[in-house]
Amino acid sequence: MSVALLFGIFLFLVLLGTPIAICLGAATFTTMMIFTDISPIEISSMMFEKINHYSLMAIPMFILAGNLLSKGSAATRIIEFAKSIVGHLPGGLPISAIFASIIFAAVSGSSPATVVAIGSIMFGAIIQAGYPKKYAVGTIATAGSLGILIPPSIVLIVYGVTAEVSIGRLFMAGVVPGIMLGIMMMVVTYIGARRLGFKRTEPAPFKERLIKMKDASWGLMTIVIVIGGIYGGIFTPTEAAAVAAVWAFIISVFVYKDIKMSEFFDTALDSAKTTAMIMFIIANAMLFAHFLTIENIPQGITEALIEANVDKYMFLFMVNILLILAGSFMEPSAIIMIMVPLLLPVAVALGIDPIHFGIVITINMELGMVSPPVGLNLFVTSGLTGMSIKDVIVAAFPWTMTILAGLLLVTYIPEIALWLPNLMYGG
Amino acid sequence: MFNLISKTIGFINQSIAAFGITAGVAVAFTNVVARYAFDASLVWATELTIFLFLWSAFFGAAYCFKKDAHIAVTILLDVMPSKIAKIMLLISHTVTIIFLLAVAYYGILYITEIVIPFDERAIDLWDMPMWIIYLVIPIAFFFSAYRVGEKIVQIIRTPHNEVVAESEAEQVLAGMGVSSKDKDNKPVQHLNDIVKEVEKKTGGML
Repeated sequence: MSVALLFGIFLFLVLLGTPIAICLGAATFTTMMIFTDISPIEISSMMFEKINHYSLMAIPMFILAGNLLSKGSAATRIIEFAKSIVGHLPGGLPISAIFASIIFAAVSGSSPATVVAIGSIMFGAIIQAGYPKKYAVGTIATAGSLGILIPPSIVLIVYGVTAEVSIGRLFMAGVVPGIMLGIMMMVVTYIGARRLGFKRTEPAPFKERLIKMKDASWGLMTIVIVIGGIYGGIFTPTEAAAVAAVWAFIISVFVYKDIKMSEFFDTALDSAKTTAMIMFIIANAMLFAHFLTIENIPQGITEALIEANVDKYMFLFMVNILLILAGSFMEPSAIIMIMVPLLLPVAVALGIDPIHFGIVITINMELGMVSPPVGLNLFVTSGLTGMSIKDVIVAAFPWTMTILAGLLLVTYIPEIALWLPNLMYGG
Repeated sequence: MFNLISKTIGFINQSIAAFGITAGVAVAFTNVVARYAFDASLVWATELTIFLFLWSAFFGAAYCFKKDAHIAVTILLDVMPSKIAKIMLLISHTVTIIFLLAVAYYGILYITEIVIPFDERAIDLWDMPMWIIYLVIPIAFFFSAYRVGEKIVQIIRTPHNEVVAESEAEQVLAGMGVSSKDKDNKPVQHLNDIVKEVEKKTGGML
């Protein structure tokens, strides 16, 4: 009963167009006041206590680092580097766009920023080189979504805090699937380009590759700091975020000189705004999840599913469908905060590793971003290229299917995700 | 008068949001340096970092209400006739303001009835009284409510055929339609606008 009211109010407010954070907060507040003895004073204080988590503090710092690096020449340098490495292959330019997206995602941690930064430079270049328009559109729309899987990823931080698992482990678990998806997309592009009759050209000389790498090295160092630092056990994810933010500040202000000191306030305010949106959702979603837990809803679902003899693979399949649907019209952190407390206990009861489950959920979110009706990467690409949404969906189809194939692989072969963290932290 | 209040609130929101995130990074980084370079962890740094970021986040949330930057699902709002859409907007904003004021009100009670009588103190942060830190809830939620109040007045005053906000997609496209036109001339300046527009719509999460 109480849960019906909770979801009823929530859906009603969502449909009215109320901010997601308020929908979660107001629905929980009302339901708690009616059905529980918890004092409203306590509910109010939970708003603060529930996000009083050191792990969550990596979010503002990664956002600031990403904002600082997205503002200037870091993207151009990374694209030049990517072109010098893979540009000679058949399909070299679109492959370079995917390669650069992977690197940029690891540097900036933001997917729309990746789509825009790489897309606005590469789109014209790919078409000029004689590729069909759908090549440019499809690769750029889908490759940007890799950003939420490749660390640093805000989605993974939110999952880690919700599921109470190590964020360092999650970050490491995202590396192999992220690179694997990237390579799969590159292979699809390569095969397609060969069929279209594109030939291999002379590869860039080794020396030029080194020069391009040196040009991009300041930005590339961010990856070394974050992934290397966490992998090497030098930094916790939050510490890595702090170092990355300061590092991004130094390169963008003093080395690349893309941002003047006087513009820093605006960048900081912008980052604070993005952080606030996410943290406000998290604070309210934590309340929501807290209520579900005290009402024993997750146990109920677990028992019902186990009684219905749902096995691990069936369950994962259901989760995939559910989350692709949810992901195509809602914001990833809200979905994770609502769904994970409900689904994780079932997953654990069925013997699924929580780290593996987090990676599966994140790839689902990626698919949601490139799925109709409202996947945001589709809109971004459509705006960037002037193609209609429908055409973008069609153009992106081969690569969307590639992500889907990757999702199935990672879902049913947990080792892809778990190999690296287990190697590093021990099983 | 209202203008002055509005400007003051705006100034406070923006200053604390931007200062909090900057100072938070600075403190967290100092702690990392202290730990690795001098092998001396600063016990107070963790709590201070959290409090700075949380202050930044809650005042930033108030700033987001001003900028209409909180993420909402607008599918239904876009397809409804404008008269109904105006009513929907009024209801959703009224619910929002009631919720924000309730949290602010109970936030004050939390401070006066629990935190101060029990004399709660920060664990590692120089014994700082917690009520100073918890003040962020009533103040930032009240400021948020004030912003929503301004929006309600604005919605009531606007004729229904102009009231409906652009849909997510329209906004993203409009923000980028401009830029893709000028792209050949000046790509980089516009790039930032696009990123901003898109991040506004997605919360920078994707």
